[in-house]
Amino acid sequence: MKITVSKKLTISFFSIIILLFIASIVSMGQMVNSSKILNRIIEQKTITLLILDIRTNLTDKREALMNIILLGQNDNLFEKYLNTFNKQSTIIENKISNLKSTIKTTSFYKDVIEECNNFSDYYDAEDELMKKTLNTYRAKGKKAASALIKDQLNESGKHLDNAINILKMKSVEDLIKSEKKSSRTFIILLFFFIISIIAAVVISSLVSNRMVSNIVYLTNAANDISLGSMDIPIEARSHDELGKLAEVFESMRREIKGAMHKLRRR
Amino acid sequence: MVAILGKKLGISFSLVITIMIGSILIGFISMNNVEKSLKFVAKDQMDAAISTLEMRINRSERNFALKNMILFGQDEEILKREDEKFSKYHKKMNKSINEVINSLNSEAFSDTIKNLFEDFYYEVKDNDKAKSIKTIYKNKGSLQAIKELREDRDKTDEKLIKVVSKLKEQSAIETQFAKTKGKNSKFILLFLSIFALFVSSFLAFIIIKDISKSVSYIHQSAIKIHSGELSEEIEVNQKSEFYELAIAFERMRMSLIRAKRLLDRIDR
Repeated sequence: MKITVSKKLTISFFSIIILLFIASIVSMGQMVNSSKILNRIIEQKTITLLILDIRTNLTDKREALMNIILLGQNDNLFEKYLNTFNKQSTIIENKISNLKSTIKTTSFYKDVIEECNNFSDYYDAEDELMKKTLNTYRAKGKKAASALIKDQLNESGKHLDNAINILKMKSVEDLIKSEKKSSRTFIILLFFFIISIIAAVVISSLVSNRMVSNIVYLTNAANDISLGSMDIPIEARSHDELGKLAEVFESMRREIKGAMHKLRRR
Repeated sequence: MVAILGKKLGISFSLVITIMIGSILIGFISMNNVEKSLKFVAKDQMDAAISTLEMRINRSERNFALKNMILFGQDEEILKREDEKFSKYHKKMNKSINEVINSLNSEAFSDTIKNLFEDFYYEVKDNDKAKSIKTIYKNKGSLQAIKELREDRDKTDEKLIKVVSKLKEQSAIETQFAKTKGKNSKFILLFLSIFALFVSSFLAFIIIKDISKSVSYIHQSAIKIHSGELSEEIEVNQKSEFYELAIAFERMRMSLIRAKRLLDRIDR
Protein backbone atom coordinates (compact mmCIF):
# COMPACT_ATOMS: atom_id res chain seq x y z
CA MET A 1 0.00 0.00 0.00
CA LYS A 2 1.17 3.48 -0.80
CA ILE A 3 1.93 5.86 2.05
CA THR A 4 0.16 9.13 1.39
CA VAL A 5 0.91 12.55 2.79
CA SER A 6 -2.18 12.45 4.97
CA LYS A 7 -1.15 9.07 6.38
CA LYS A 8 2.30 10.40 7.21
CA LEU A 9 0.84 13.40 8.97
CA THR A 10 -1.72 11.29 10.80
CA ILE A 11 0.95 8.94 12.08
CA SER A 12 3.13 11.79 13.31
CA PHE A 13 0.30 13.57 15.07
CA PHE A 14 -1.08 10.48 16.68
CA SER A 15 2.23 9.17 17.88
CA ILE A 16 2.55 12.34 19.96
CA ILE A 17 -1.06 12.34 21.11
CA ILE A 18 -0.81 8.69 22.16
CA LEU A 19 2.50 9.37 23.91
CA LEU A 20 0.86 12.05 26.02
CA PHE A 21 -2.19 9.92 26.66
CA ILE A 22 0.03 7.15 27.95
CA ALA A 23 1.74 9.73 30.16
CA SER A 24 -1.56 10.69 31.73
CA ILE A 25 -2.57 7.07 32.30
CA VAL A 26 0.80 6.17 33.81
CA SER A 27 0.79 9.18 36.09
CA MET A 28 -2.75 8.39 37.15
CA GLY A 29 -1.68 4.86 38.04
CA GLN A 30 1.19 6.22 40.09
CA MET A 31 -1.06 8.66 41.91
CA VAL A 32 -3.61 5.97 42.69
CA ASN A 33 -0.84 3.80 44.08
CA SER A 34 0.52 6.57 46.21
CA SER A 35 -2.89 7.38 47.68
CA LYS A 36 -3.35 3.68 48.35
CA ILE A 37 -0.17 3.79 50.43
CA LEU A 38 -1.40 6.89 52.24
CA ASN A 39 -4.68 5.15 53.00
CA ARG A 40 -2.73 2.23 54.39
CA ILE A 41 -0.78 4.61 56.63
CA ILE A 42 -4.05 6.02 57.90
CA GLU A 43 -5.25 2.48 58.58
CA GLN A 44 -2.03 1.69 60.45
CA LYS A 45 -2.33 4.81 62.55
CA THR A 46 -5.98 4.13 63.31
CA ILE A 47 -4.95 0.78 64.72
CA THR A 48 -2.05 2.42 66.57
CA LEU A 49 -4.58 4.73 68.18
CA LEU A 50 -6.78 1.77 69.11
CA ILE A 51 -3.83 0.07 70.79
CA LEU A 52 -2.80 3.27 72.52
CA ASP A 53 -6.34 3.59 73.85
CA ILE A 54 -6.07 0.13 75.37
CA ARG A 55 -2.66 1.02 76.75
CA THR A 56 -4.15 4.11 78.39
CA ASN A 57 -6.97 2.12 79.95
CA LEU A 58 -4.43 -0.41 81.15
CA THR A 59 -2.44 2.23 83.03
CA ASP A 60 -5.67 3.64 84.42
CA LYS A 61 -6.69 0.23 85.69
CA ARG A 62 -3.30 -0.33 87.26
CA GLU A 63 -3.44 3.12 88.79
CA ALA A 64 -6.84 2.39 90.28
CA LEU A 65 -5.44 -0.74 91.93
CA MET A 66 -2.47 1.22 93.28
CA ASN A 67 -4.81 3.87 94.62
CA ILE A 68 -6.90 1.22 96.35
CA ILE A 69 -3.82 -0.17 98.07
CA LEU A 70 -2.48 3.27 98.95
CA LEU A 71 -5.70 5.01 99.95
CA GLY A 72 -8.18 2.17 100.49
CA GLN A 73 -8.33 2.71 104.24
CA ASN A 74 -10.83 5.40 103.46
CA ASP A 75 -14.08 3.58 102.58
CA ASN A 76 -15.25 6.25 100.17
CA LEU A 77 -12.02 6.23 98.25
CA PHE A 78 -12.00 2.44 98.24
CA GLU A 79 -15.42 2.39 96.62
CA LYS A 80 -14.45 5.06 94.13
CA TYR A 81 -11.27 3.35 92.96
CA LEU A 82 -12.92 -0.06 92.93
CA ASN A 83 -15.50 1.40 90.57
CA THR A 84 -12.79 2.80 88.33
CA PHE A 85 -11.01 -0.54 88.44
CA ASN A 86 -14.09 -2.48 87.34
CA LYS A 87 -15.03 0.08 84.75
CA GLN A 88 -11.59 0.00 83.16
CA SER A 89 -11.67 -3.82 83.14
CA THR A 90 -14.85 -3.87 81.10
CA ILE A 91 -13.58 -1.16 78.76
CA ILE A 92 -10.34 -3.05 78.15
CA GLU A 93 -12.15 -6.30 77.43
CA ASN A 94 -14.45 -4.58 74.94
CA LYS A 95 -11.56 -2.85 73.26
CA ILE A 96 -9.52 -6.03 72.99
CA SER A 97 -12.33 -7.80 71.15
CA ASN A 98 -12.78 -4.70 68.98
CA LEU A 99 -9.05 -4.65 68.19
CA LYS A 100 -9.02 -8.34 67.38
CA SER A 101 -11.88 -8.04 64.92
CA THR A 102 -10.34 -4.92 63.32
CA ILE A 103 -7.01 -6.63 62.82
CA LYS A 104 -8.72 -9.67 61.39
CA THR A 105 -10.55 -7.67 58.73
CA THR A 106 -7.42 -5.78 57.68
CA SER A 107 -4.73 -7.57 55.75
CA PHE A 108 -2.29 -6.94 58.49
CA TYR A 109 1.20 -7.55 59.62
CA LYS A 110 2.06 -10.79 61.33
CA ASP A 111 4.23 -9.23 64.03
CA VAL A 112 1.51 -6.83 65.11
CA ILE A 113 -1.07 -9.61 65.40
CA GLU A 114 1.41 -11.71 67.34
CA GLU A 115 2.15 -8.92 69.79
CA CYS A 116 -1.56 -8.27 70.24
CA ASN A 117 -2.14 -11.93 70.99
CA ASN A 118 0.78 -11.94 73.42
CA PHE A 119 -0.73 -8.92 75.05
CA SER A 120 -4.09 -10.50 75.57
CA ASP A 121 -2.46 -13.63 77.07
CA TYR A 122 -0.41 -11.55 79.48
CA TYR A 123 -3.34 -9.35 80.18
CA ASP A 124 -5.43 -12.34 81.29
CA ALA A 125 -2.66 -13.38 83.68
CA GLU A 126 -2.33 -9.84 84.99
CA ASP A 127 -6.05 -9.54 85.44
CA GLU A 128 -5.98 -12.68 87.60
CA LEU A 129 -3.14 -11.25 89.64
CA MET A 130 -4.91 -7.92 90.08
CA LYS A 131 -8.08 -9.61 91.28
CA LYS A 132 -6.07 -11.75 93.63
CA THR A 133 -4.33 -8.63 94.93
CA LEU A 134 -7.69 -7.01 95.56
CA ASN A 135 -8.88 -10.00 97.56
CA THR A 136 -5.61 -10.13 99.47
CA TYR A 137 -5.97 -6.45 100.26
CA ARG A 138 -9.43 -7.03 101.63
CA ALA A 139 -8.35 -10.06 103.68
CA LYS A 140 -4.83 -9.23 104.79
CA GLY A 141 -4.29 -5.52 104.18
CA LYS A 142 -1.93 -3.19 102.40
CA LYS A 143 1.39 -4.88 103.02
CA ALA A 144 0.48 -8.35 101.79
CA ALA A 145 -1.30 -6.90 98.73
CA SER A 146 1.56 -4.66 97.71
CA ALA A 147 3.99 -7.56 98.03
CA LEU A 148 1.95 -9.41 95.39
CA ILE A 149 2.13 -6.72 92.72
CA LYS A 150 5.73 -5.70 93.30
CA ASP A 151 7.37 -5.69 89.85
CA GLN A 152 4.54 -7.75 88.38
CA LEU A 153 2.38 -5.42 86.35
CA ASN A 154 4.51 -4.40 83.43
CA GLU A 155 4.53 -7.36 81.06
CA SER A 156 1.32 -6.89 79.05
CA GLY A 157 1.97 -3.20 78.49
CA LYS A 158 5.34 -4.01 76.99
CA HIS A 159 3.70 -6.08 74.26
CA LEU A 160 1.38 -3.26 73.41
CA ASP A 161 4.38 -0.92 73.24
CA ASN A 162 6.07 -3.37 70.86
CA ALA A 163 3.01 -3.50 68.62
CA ILE A 164 2.87 0.30 68.60
CA ASN A 165 6.54 0.55 67.70
CA ILE A 166 6.16 -1.93 64.84
CA LEU A 167 3.21 0.00 63.48
CA LYS A 168 5.05 3.28 63.79
CA MET A 169 8.04 1.94 61.93
CA LYS A 170 5.84 0.59 59.16
CA SER A 171 4.07 3.87 58.71
CA VAL A 172 7.33 5.80 58.61
CA GLU A 173 8.54 3.40 55.89
CA ASP A 174 5.28 3.78 54.01
CA LEU A 175 5.39 7.54 54.25
CA ILE A 176 8.85 7.58 52.68
CA LYS A 177 7.58 5.21 49.98
CA SER A 178 4.61 7.41 49.17
CA GLU A 179 6.79 10.53 49.06
CA LYS A 180 9.16 8.79 46.66
CA LYS A 181 6.25 7.69 44.55
CA SER A 182 4.69 11.10 44.23
CA SER A 183 7.98 12.74 43.31
CA ARG A 184 8.53 9.93 40.81
CA THR A 185 5.13 10.65 39.28
CA PHE A 186 6.19 14.20 38.67
CA ILE A 187 9.45 13.09 37.08
CA ILE A 188 7.60 10.61 34.85
CA LEU A 189 5.21 13.31 33.70
CA LEU A 190 8.05 15.73 33.05
CA PHE A 191 9.92 13.05 31.13
CA PHE A 192 6.91 12.32 28.90
CA PHE A 193 6.29 16.03 28.34
CA ILE A 194 9.86 16.69 27.30
CA ILE A 195 9.99 13.59 25.09
CA SER A 196 6.75 14.53 23.34
CA ILE A 197 7.85 18.13 22.81
CA ILE A 198 11.15 16.96 21.34
CA ALA A 199 9.34 14.37 19.21
CA ALA A 200 6.91 17.02 17.97
CA VAL A 201 9.72 19.38 17.01
CA VAL A 202 11.71 16.64 15.29
CA ILE A 203 8.76 15.06 13.49
CA SER A 204 7.21 18.32 12.32
CA SER A 205 10.49 19.68 11.03
CA LEU A 206 11.39 16.35 9.42
CA VAL A 207 8.04 15.90 7.72
CA SER A 208 7.73 19.51 6.62
CA ASN A 209 11.35 19.76 5.46
CA ARG A 210 11.03 16.71 3.25
CA MET A 211 7.71 17.83 1.85
CA VAL A 212 8.92 21.38 1.29
CA SER A 213 12.12 20.26 -0.41
CA ASN A 214 10.10 17.97 -2.71
CA ILE A 215 7.67 20.75 -3.52
CA VAL A 216 10.47 23.25 -4.20
CA TYR A 217 12.17 20.66 -6.38
CA LEU A 218 9.01 20.13 -8.42
CA THR A 219 8.34 23.88 -8.61
CA ASN A 220 11.82 24.49 -10.02
CA ALA A 221 11.42 21.62 -12.48
CA ALA A 222 8.07 22.97 -13.70
CA ASN A 223 9.58 26.45 -14.08
CA ASP A 224 12.50 25.02 -16.04
CA ILE A 225 10.15 23.19 -18.39
CA SER A 226 8.02 26.25 -19.02
CA LEU A 227 11.19 28.25 -19.72
CA GLY A 228 12.24 25.69 -22.34
CA SER A 229 15.03 23.69 -20.71
CA MET A 230 13.86 20.12 -20.76
CA ASP A 231 17.02 18.07 -20.56
CA ILE A 232 17.18 17.34 -16.84
CA PRO A 233 15.10 14.32 -15.86
CA ILE A 234 12.73 14.66 -12.88
CA GLU A 235 13.06 11.96 -10.23
CA ALA A 236 10.47 10.77 -7.75
CA ARG A 237 12.06 11.36 -4.35
CA SER A 238 9.29 10.02 -2.13
CA HIS A 239 6.55 7.43 -2.25
CA ASP A 240 3.60 9.72 -1.62
CA GLU A 241 1.50 11.96 -3.87
CA LEU A 242 4.47 14.23 -4.44
CA GLY A 243 6.44 11.27 -5.77
CA LYS A 244 3.56 10.38 -8.05
CA LEU A 245 3.43 13.99 -9.16
CA ALA A 246 7.12 13.83 -10.03
CA GLU A 247 6.45 10.76 -12.17
CA VAL A 248 3.67 12.59 -14.00
CA PHE A 249 5.97 15.59 -14.47
CA GLU A 250 8.69 13.37 -15.85
CA SER A 251 6.48 11.78 -18.49
CA MET A 252 5.11 15.22 -19.37
CA ARG A 253 8.65 16.50 -19.69
CA ARG A 254 9.46 13.68 -22.08
CA GLU A 255 6.32 14.33 -24.13
CA ILE A 256 7.00 18.06 -24.43
CA LYS A 257 10.61 17.34 -25.25
CA GLY A 258 9.50 14.94 -28.00
CA ALA A 259 7.00 17.46 -29.33
CA MET A 260 9.64 20.20 -29.38
CA HIS A 261 12.04 17.85 -31.12
CA LYS A 262 9.47 17.10 -33.77
CA LEU A 263 8.77 20.83 -34.15
CA ARG A 264 12.42 21.68 -34.59
CA ARG A 265 12.89 18.99 -37.30
CA ARG A 266 10.15 20.47 -39.39
CA MET B 1 13.88 30.97 5.54
CA VAL B 2 11.41 28.93 7.54
CA ALA B 3 8.98 27.18 5.28
CA ILE B 4 5.35 28.19 5.63
CA LEU B 5 4.29 24.55 5.66
CA GLY B 6 6.77 23.89 8.46
CA LYS B 7 5.38 26.82 10.44
CA LYS B 8 1.87 25.51 9.99
CA LEU B 9 2.82 22.05 11.15
CA GLY B 10 4.86 23.46 14.03
CA ILE B 11 1.97 25.58 15.27
CA SER B 12 -0.49 22.70 15.02
CA PHE B 13 1.85 20.36 16.87
CA SER B 14 2.36 22.86 19.65
CA LEU B 15 -1.39 23.43 19.90
CA VAL B 16 -2.01 19.72 20.22
CA ILE B 17 0.72 19.32 22.81
CA THR B 18 -0.46 22.33 24.80
CA ILE B 19 -4.00 20.99 24.98
CA MET B 20 -2.81 17.53 26.06
CA ILE B 21 -0.24 18.73 28.60
CA GLY B 22 -2.61 21.36 29.96
CA SER B 23 -5.37 18.87 30.69
CA ILE B 24 -2.97 16.35 32.17
CA LEU B 25 -1.49 19.02 34.44
CA ILE B 26 -4.94 20.12 35.64
CA GLY B 27 -5.79 16.52 36.49
CA PHE B 28 -2.40 16.00 38.09
CA ILE B 29 -2.76 19.08 40.30
CA SER B 30 -6.20 18.03 41.46
CA MET B 31 -4.92 14.55 42.36
CA ASN B 32 -1.91 16.09 44.03
CA ASN B 33 -4.20 18.14 46.25
CA VAL B 34 -6.01 15.01 47.36
CA GLU B 35 -2.70 13.42 48.18
CA LYS B 36 -1.69 16.48 50.15
CA SER B 37 -4.80 16.38 52.31
CA LEU B 38 -4.39 12.63 52.86
CA LYS B 39 -0.83 13.33 53.93
CA PHE B 40 -2.08 15.93 56.41
CA VAL B 41 -4.30 13.31 57.98
CA ALA B 42 -1.75 10.51 57.83
CA LYS B 43 1.11 12.59 59.10
CA ASP B 44 0.18 15.57 61.21
CA GLN B 45 -3.29 14.95 62.57
CA MET B 46 -2.96 11.30 63.47
CA ASP B 47 0.56 11.80 64.78
CA ALA B 48 -0.71 14.52 67.07
CA ALA B 49 -3.39 12.17 68.42
CA ILE B 50 -0.80 9.41 68.86
CA SER B 51 1.64 11.72 70.63
CA THR B 52 -1.09 12.98 72.93
CA LEU B 53 -2.07 9.48 73.97
CA GLU B 54 1.58 8.59 74.43
CA MET B 55 2.01 11.63 76.58
CA ARG B 56 -0.88 10.42 78.69
CA ILE B 57 0.61 6.93 78.97
CA ASN B 58 4.07 8.25 79.81
CA ARG B 59 2.57 10.46 82.46
CA SER B 60 0.75 7.49 83.95
CA GLU B 61 3.95 5.46 83.90
CA ARG B 62 5.78 8.30 85.60
CA ASN B 63 3.11 8.62 88.24
CA PHE B 64 3.16 4.86 88.63
CA ALA B 65 6.86 5.11 89.39
CA LEU B 66 6.10 7.77 91.98
CA LYS B 67 3.48 5.52 93.54
CA ASN B 68 5.92 2.65 93.60
CA MET B 69 8.32 4.92 95.43
CA ILE B 70 5.62 5.68 97.95
CA LEU B 71 4.57 2.06 98.29
CA PHE B 72 7.97 0.38 98.35
CA GLY B 73 10.02 3.35 99.55
CA GLN B 74 11.54 1.39 102.42
CA ASP B 75 13.58 -0.58 99.90
CA GLU B 76 16.51 1.62 98.84
CA GLU B 77 17.05 -0.33 95.63
CA ILE B 78 13.47 0.05 94.47
CA LEU B 79 13.47 3.70 95.46
CA LYS B 80 16.49 4.36 93.29
CA ARG B 81 15.14 2.35 90.35
CA GLU B 82 11.73 3.98 90.45
CA ASP B 83 13.32 7.39 90.72
CA GLU B 84 15.19 6.65 87.49
CA LYS B 85 11.97 5.48 85.90
CA PHE B 86 10.29 8.64 87.08
CA SER B 87 12.88 10.83 85.31
CA LYS B 88 12.80 8.65 82.20
CA TYR B 89 9.05 8.83 81.75
CA HIS B 90 9.01 12.49 82.66
CA LYS B 91 11.41 13.14 79.81
CA LYS B 92 9.39 10.96 77.44
CA MET B 93 6.22 12.77 78.38
CA ASN B 94 7.75 16.17 77.65
CA LYS B 95 9.11 14.85 74.39
CA SER B 96 5.62 13.81 73.28
CA ILE B 97 4.25 17.23 74.22
CA ASN B 98 7.01 19.00 72.33
CA GLU B 99 6.39 16.83 69.28
CA VAL B 100 2.81 18.03 69.12
CA ILE B 101 3.69 21.65 69.84
CA ASN B 102 6.28 21.61 67.08
CA SER B 103 3.85 20.13 64.58
CA LEU B 104 1.22 22.76 65.30
CA ASN B 105 2.70 25.07 62.66
CA SER B 106 1.53 22.65 59.97
CA GLU B 107 -1.29 23.67 57.67
CA ALA B 108 -3.10 20.50 58.72
CA PHE B 109 -4.62 22.21 61.76
CA SER B 110 -7.30 24.85 61.64
CA ASP B 111 -7.04 27.86 63.93
CA THR B 112 -9.74 26.67 66.32
CA ILE B 113 -7.99 23.34 66.75
CA LYS B 114 -4.67 25.10 67.20
CA ASN B 115 -6.08 27.25 69.99
CA LEU B 116 -7.59 24.24 71.72
CA PHE B 117 -4.29 22.38 71.49
CA GLU B 118 -2.14 25.26 72.64
CA ASP B 119 -4.36 25.74 75.64
CA PHE B 120 -4.08 22.06 76.53
CA TYR B 121 -0.47 21.26 75.73
CA TYR B 122 0.98 24.33 77.41
CA GLU B 123 -1.09 23.66 80.49
CA VAL B 124 0.22 20.10 80.71
CA LYS B 125 3.73 21.25 80.08
CA ASP B 126 3.91 24.29 82.30
CA ASN B 127 1.68 23.36 85.20
CA ASP B 128 2.90 19.84 85.72
CA LYS B 129 3.14 19.22 89.43
CA ALA B 130 4.95 15.88 89.57
CA LYS B 131 8.29 17.37 90.61
CA SER B 132 6.75 19.34 93.43
CA ILE B 133 4.65 16.34 94.45
CA LYS B 134 7.86 14.47 95.07
CA THR B 135 8.76 17.06 97.71
CA ILE B 136 5.21 17.07 99.05
CA TYR B 137 5.54 13.34 99.57
CA LYS B 138 8.76 13.81 101.48
CA ASN B 139 7.30 16.55 103.68
CA LYS B 140 3.61 15.77 104.09
CA GLY B 141 3.39 12.03 103.54
CA SER B 142 1.93 9.74 100.94
CA LEU B 143 -1.74 10.56 101.33
CA GLN B 144 -1.39 14.20 100.42
CA ALA B 145 1.01 13.43 97.58
CA ILE B 146 -1.32 10.95 95.91
CA LYS B 147 -4.26 13.27 96.30
CA GLU B 148 -2.37 16.07 94.58
CA LEU B 149 -1.22 13.72 91.84
CA ARG B 150 -4.77 12.66 91.22
CA GLU B 151 -6.04 16.23 91.14
CA ASP B 152 -3.31 17.25 88.77
CA ARG B 153 -4.25 14.49 86.40
CA ASP B 154 -7.98 15.02 86.57
CA LYS B 155 -7.59 18.69 85.73
CA THR B 156 -6.12 18.06 82.30
CA ASP B 157 -7.62 14.67 81.57
CA GLU B 158 -10.93 16.01 80.40
CA LYS B 159 -9.22 18.35 77.99
CA LEU B 160 -7.00 15.55 76.80
CA ILE B 161 -9.95 13.35 75.90
CA LYS B 162 -11.46 16.31 74.07
CA VAL B 163 -8.26 16.96 72.13
CA VAL B 164 -7.80 13.34 71.12
CA SER B 165 -11.40 12.85 70.09
CA LYS B 166 -11.32 16.12 68.15
CA LEU B 167 -8.24 14.92 66.30
CA LYS B 168 -9.76 11.52 65.58
CA GLU B 169 -12.97 13.12 64.39
CA GLN B 170 -11.15 15.62 62.21
CA SER B 171 -8.94 13.00 60.59
CA ALA B 172 -11.89 10.68 59.97
CA ILE B 173 -13.82 13.48 58.26
CA GLU B 174 -10.86 14.54 56.17
CA THR B 175 -9.99 11.00 55.17
CA GLN B 176 -13.52 10.47 53.96
CA PHE B 177 -13.45 13.80 52.14
CA ALA B 178 -10.11 13.05 50.52
CA LYS B 179 -11.32 9.62 49.43
CA THR B 180 -14.35 11.05 47.64
CA LYS B 181 -12.24 13.80 46.18
CA GLY B 182 -9.67 11.23 45.10
CA LYS B 183 -12.31 9.32 43.19
CA ASN B 184 -13.52 12.54 41.58
CA SER B 185 -10.09 13.66 40.50
CA LYS B 186 -9.38 10.26 39.02
CA PHE B 187 -12.41 10.85 36.82
CA ILE B 188 -11.35 14.43 36.13
CA LEU B 189 -7.93 13.30 34.96
CA LEU B 190 -9.40 10.51 32.85
CA PHE B 191 -12.10 12.79 31.42
CA LEU B 192 -9.64 15.59 30.65
CA SER B 193 -7.20 13.19 29.01
CA ILE B 194 -9.90 11.70 26.80
CA PHE B 195 -11.29 15.15 26.07
CA ALA B 196 -7.81 16.37 25.10
CA LEU B 197 -7.35 13.24 23.02
CA PHE B 198 -10.48 14.06 21.04
CA VAL B 199 -9.82 17.77 20.69
CA SER B 200 -6.26 17.28 19.53
CA SER B 201 -7.29 14.47 17.20
CA PHE B 202 -9.92 16.76 15.69
CA LEU B 203 -7.36 19.53 15.33
CA ALA B 204 -4.87 17.16 13.73
CA PHE B 205 -7.59 15.91 11.39
CA ILE B 206 -8.40 19.44 10.16
CA ILE B 207 -4.74 20.30 9.55
CA ILE B 208 -4.02 17.04 7.81
CA LYS B 209 -7.07 17.44 5.59
CA ASP B 210 -6.07 20.97 4.71
CA ILE B 211 -2.55 20.01 3.68
CA SER B 212 -3.38 16.80 1.87
CA LYS B 213 -6.20 18.50 -0.02
CA SER B 214 -3.68 20.73 -1.82
CA VAL B 215 -1.39 17.80 -2.51
CA SER B 216 -4.09 15.63 -4.00
CA TYR B 217 -5.55 18.57 -5.97
CA ILE B 218 -2.27 19.18 -7.78
CA HIS B 219 -1.83 15.45 -8.18
CA GLN B 220 -5.23 15.09 -9.82
CA SER B 221 -4.59 18.05 -12.15
CA ALA B 222 -1.27 16.55 -13.22
CA ILE B 223 -2.95 13.26 -14.05
CA LYS B 224 -5.58 15.11 -16.12
CA ILE B 225 -2.96 17.08 -18.05
CA HIS B 226 -0.99 13.93 -18.62
CA SER B 227 -3.99 12.22 -20.14
CA GLY B 228 -4.42 15.14 -22.58
CA GLU B 229 -6.98 17.29 -20.78
CA LEU B 230 -5.29 20.67 -20.90
CA SER B 231 -8.29 22.94 -20.54
CA GLU B 232 -8.63 23.05 -16.75
CA GLU B 233 -6.94 25.93 -14.94
CA ILE B 234 -4.96 25.19 -11.82
CA GLU B 235 -5.65 27.29 -8.76
CA VAL B 236 -4.49 27.05 -5.16
CA ASN B 237 -5.65 29.66 -2.68
CA GLN B 238 -3.57 28.41 0.20
CA LYS B 239 -0.57 30.58 1.06
CA SER B 240 2.13 27.95 1.20
CA GLU B 241 4.70 26.19 -0.90
CA PHE B 242 1.80 24.61 -2.79
CA TYR B 243 0.91 28.04 -4.11
CA GLU B 244 4.33 28.39 -5.75
CA LEU B 245 4.08 24.90 -7.11
CA ALA B 246 0.66 25.59 -8.52
CA ILE B 247 1.88 28.76 -10.27
CA ALA B 248 4.83 26.91 -11.78
CA PHE B 249 2.55 24.09 -12.78
CA GLU B 250 0.09 26.48 -14.38
CA ARG B 251 2.93 28.08 -16.31
CA MET B 252 3.97 24.64 -17.53
CA ARG B 253 0.41 23.87 -18.57
CA MET B 254 0.30 27.10 -20.60
CA SER B 255 3.56 26.32 -22.38
CA LEU B 256 2.30 22.83 -23.09
CA ILE B 257 -0.84 24.28 -24.64
CA ARG B 258 1.27 26.70 -26.68
CA ALA B 259 3.50 23.87 -27.92
CA LYS B 260 0.48 21.80 -28.82
CA ARG B 261 -1.13 24.63 -30.79
CA LEU B 262 2.09 25.25 -32.65
CA LEU B 263 2.38 21.58 -33.46
CA ASP B 264 -1.25 21.47 -34.65
CA ARG B 265 -0.71 24.52 -36.93
CA ILE B 266 2.38 23.01 -38.48
CA ASP B 267 0.58 19.69 -38.97
CA ARG B 268 -2.09 21.50 -40.93
